[in-house]
Amino acid sequence: MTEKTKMFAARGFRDAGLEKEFELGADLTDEPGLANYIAAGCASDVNPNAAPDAAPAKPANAKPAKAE
Amino acid sequence: MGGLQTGAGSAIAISVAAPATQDAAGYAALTYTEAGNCEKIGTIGATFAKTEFQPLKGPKQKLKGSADYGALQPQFGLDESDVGQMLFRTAAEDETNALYAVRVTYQSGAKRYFQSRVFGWPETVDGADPIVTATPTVEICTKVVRVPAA
Repeated sequence: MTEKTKMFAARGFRDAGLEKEFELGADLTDEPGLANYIAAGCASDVNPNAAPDAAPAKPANAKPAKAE
Repeated sequence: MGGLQTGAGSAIAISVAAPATQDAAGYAALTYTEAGNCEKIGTIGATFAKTEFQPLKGPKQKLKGSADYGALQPQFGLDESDVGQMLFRTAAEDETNALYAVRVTYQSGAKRYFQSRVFGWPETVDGADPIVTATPTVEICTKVVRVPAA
């Protein structure tokens, strides 16, 4: 089974037909108009709300780095 | 039941997808995005070139020449947060000859479907009071599929 790529609002926008508004970073993965949103430049697989340089979480039992 | 209708409640919507078949079922299967703040949609329908021949004897003969599926020029109150308008602008800025499917819905619920190319997205600032508008030219490139109101 392949996992669906998560898609996010690349900017805040409004869909007049659906009478819905999407804020920056809203999850659009299951929206019916996704292909149109992508073409319009409103959807991306990059989550704009994710911290850009967040360090990966360390396991609780990780050894401290050795001093040089 | 039929009857007269006005334009109120009509809508224009666009899709990047192409219909599998040039019929109501093919177009209805697509997902469209409506463009908001639409003030007018324009004229939908083909016209034919008139080919004339005047014989030396007898009346002028008139034949139907090439078909032109026409063009419409919807007018929108410019709204840069409206995804339908953004998609029309994307179609206008598309430098390929890709076709975009368009659905026009009338007040009665009747629909008109066709594929089109959008030639430009001119924006008009017409003085202090009028709303800033955009008036793309949507050239109709396929036969219009007409679906009556249910």
